[in-house]
Amino acid sequence: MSNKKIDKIISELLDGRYFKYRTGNGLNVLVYEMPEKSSVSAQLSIGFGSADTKIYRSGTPDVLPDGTAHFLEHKMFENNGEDIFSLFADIGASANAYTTFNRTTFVFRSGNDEYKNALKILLNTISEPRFSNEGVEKEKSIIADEIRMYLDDPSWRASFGLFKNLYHNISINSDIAGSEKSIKKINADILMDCFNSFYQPENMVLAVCGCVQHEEVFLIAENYFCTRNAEMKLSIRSSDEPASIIRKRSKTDMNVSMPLFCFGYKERCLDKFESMKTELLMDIVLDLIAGESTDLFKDLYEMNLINDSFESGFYSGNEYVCTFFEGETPYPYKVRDQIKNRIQKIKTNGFRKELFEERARASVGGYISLFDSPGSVAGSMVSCHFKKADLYDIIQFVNRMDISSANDLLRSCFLDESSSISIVNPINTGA
Amino acid sequence: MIFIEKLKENITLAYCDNRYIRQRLVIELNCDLERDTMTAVSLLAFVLSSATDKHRDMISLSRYLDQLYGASLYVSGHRVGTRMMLHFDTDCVSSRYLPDESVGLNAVKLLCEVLAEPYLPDGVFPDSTIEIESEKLKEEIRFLINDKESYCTRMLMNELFKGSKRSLPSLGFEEDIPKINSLSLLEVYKKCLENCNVNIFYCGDQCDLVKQILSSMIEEYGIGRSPVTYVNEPVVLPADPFYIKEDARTEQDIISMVFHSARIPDEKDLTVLKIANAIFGGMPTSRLFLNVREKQGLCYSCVSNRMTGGGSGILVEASTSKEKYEKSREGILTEFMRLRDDGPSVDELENAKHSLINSTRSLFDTVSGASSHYLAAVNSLRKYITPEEEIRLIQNVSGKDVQSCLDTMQLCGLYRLTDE
Repeated sequence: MSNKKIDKIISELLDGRYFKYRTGNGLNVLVYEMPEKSSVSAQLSIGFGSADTKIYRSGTPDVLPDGTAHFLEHKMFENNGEDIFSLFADIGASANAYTTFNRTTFVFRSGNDEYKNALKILLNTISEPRFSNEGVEKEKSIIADEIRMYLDDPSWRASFGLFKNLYHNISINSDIAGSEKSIKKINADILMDCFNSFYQPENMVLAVCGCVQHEEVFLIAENYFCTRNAEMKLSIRSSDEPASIIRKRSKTDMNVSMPLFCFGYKERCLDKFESMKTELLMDIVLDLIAGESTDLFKDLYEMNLINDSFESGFYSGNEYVCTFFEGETPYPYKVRDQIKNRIQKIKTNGFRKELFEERARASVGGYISLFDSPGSVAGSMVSCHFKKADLYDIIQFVNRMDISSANDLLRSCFLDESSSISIVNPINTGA
Repeated sequence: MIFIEKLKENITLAYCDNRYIRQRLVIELNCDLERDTMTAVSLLAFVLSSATDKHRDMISLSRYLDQLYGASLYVSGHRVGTRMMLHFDTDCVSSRYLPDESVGLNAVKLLCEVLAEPYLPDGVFPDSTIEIESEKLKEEIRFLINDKESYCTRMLMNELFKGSKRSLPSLGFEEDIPKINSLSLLEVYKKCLENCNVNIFYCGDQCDLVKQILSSMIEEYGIGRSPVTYVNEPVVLPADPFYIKEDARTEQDIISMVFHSARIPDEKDLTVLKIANAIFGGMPTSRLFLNVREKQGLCYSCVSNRMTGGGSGILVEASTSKEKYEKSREGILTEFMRLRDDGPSVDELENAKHSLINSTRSLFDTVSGASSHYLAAVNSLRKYITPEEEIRLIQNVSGKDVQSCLDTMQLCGLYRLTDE
């Protein structure tokens, strides 16, 4: 380790520092030292999510069943029929895992005295799968329950309704956990193949934050993934997603108190979203369109067309960028039309300078706030790594943002022909 | 380290050493719970957070929060046990990290304005605001059905505490909303300010100045002039367990079940309950998770939480397929009885203690954790237990204590949402 380069990154503003290192086996490790904290948070994140459904070897890619990344996440915590959670519990630590469209992430939180052991358990768990065929078959019933649980969540249904309206071939149009039908096709061989393809140290990042010493973390990390030398076979951008959308609107019925909607745009400016800077700028753009300080929000609120549940956001990955506005409303189409009109108006006139500056200032505050909690710092380090940015760059990016970039971004996005709305309507059950 | 000071007999200010990047101020007014005015108290929270005398509409208020580097503002009015609580909080980046040193103090002043200087043209709340915010309150009351697990648990609690104040809905009654007008709302507002006990938590850079600002506000507006006396309602549990099934057209069956005791817990009882709950269903290595979910594969979600209002108890929330409902219910009951009858293993007990001790220590890693820890203690026990005291209590819990705790509980009821 002594011969390798450790990068030390310092923030005078925050009086903080963190360290970057790449182990001999290619694992990226980030350590944020917070000596005043009483706990340690760690995240090990793999660049393999539910939208990665193809393994390229040569020529035609192998297509994975929907829900494979999530299924593998579940099974990585199996330890030859036993549960890894117990190993963490034995040292008073707690662990969890989750899958998004782009990533699978394993996390733990521990006391300061136990973090080294917790880290060893985590790295040992992820460096080698220990699941059995029986374990995989048994898991199907648990995951089927999980899939049904999300089907009872109206916001989830509205969001996925929109993705299904927008995307032909990209797997964000399917539930992250897949469907009851797709998970039936998953077996131990498929999971093992995915493990070998995606769980490569070069495709991972480990972020540790809290009362830790960076040298100790790096030394521990050096001891894992030693036997991994398989050629990495990542899912790459597919060229078969057309620019068009599938449908302009969709509806589903559920037992809800009032309609929920998710209205959004399939954005085409994918290249721009490869940088963290554009993502940060999009946050501000969306707030300037529909945040609580805007005329749009006030008008919709006072007309009783929205309530506090109204919000905006975006999802972005290798093959997609989707901006959206969602909430509850008695009149989803009226809200959609108001949003579209307002966007058109701002595209013509541009953002107001003082509002842009206030919003940028609020963003600076938001990013500084992240540094209060070891968990949020670890999460932010992971996000920055996958966007090829440094953690402290965020504040610099926001400080340097200018209104013309915001107007440019606005004008290149939110095209009417790429928009769609998904609605969850109430059914009368008497409940 | 939290320091506690009495500003008045019924007004307490707690403040902690400022080692956080964020500062936080929370003010909680604990008022009497009356069936006829509780809906107005809930509405007050909506109205107060929409404007102040200085910031007369939501845009002005929101833009000011942006100018304070994205400070947050949150107001709520809801039932807590047998009281109504008006909760105000603000959170912002500590001025130490900002070019503008006045941000922290301005956020404090803003929260005081929201609480004590509402926008009252003609001396009353504007009718237009009441009309708009009434609609929002109505939607929030109705919204409960959208979150099926919360709805199921709420219905279970209504039945468990039937006839007592604890069965009243948290935000009041939809049918009461049209009866509220600008005058009646003002009366309720004045009464809440005057007749209440107040808990304040502040962590930030300017304790002395903030104390002065708060003390002046309390004096000027007569906040907490008349203390409220807490009366513990006797807890009457159902003689036999109830089982209620509702057709909610859910994709899967959602179950809430409660094991409860009428005994009012002290701090030791609460600590034992924490450990019992952790072993039973409160951790990823609990019996419900390992045995009901992992070994038997009965349900994806099966967790328990402790209940401390109106006696003490353990609430189980689970969701499963319709076909596995019976087995899941049996599985949960079996795990409860086994833990009660045989007690925890030595490893289970030690692991639960270790985990809870680490959690208690880490609460003070964030300013929101510190404030939640303080306010949860004073709200449930009416006194503050330091983390060190809490850790000592945890260390002294035995397996027999866990068994005795569960022994006092009985299965009181089960509520099930299904698709018939």
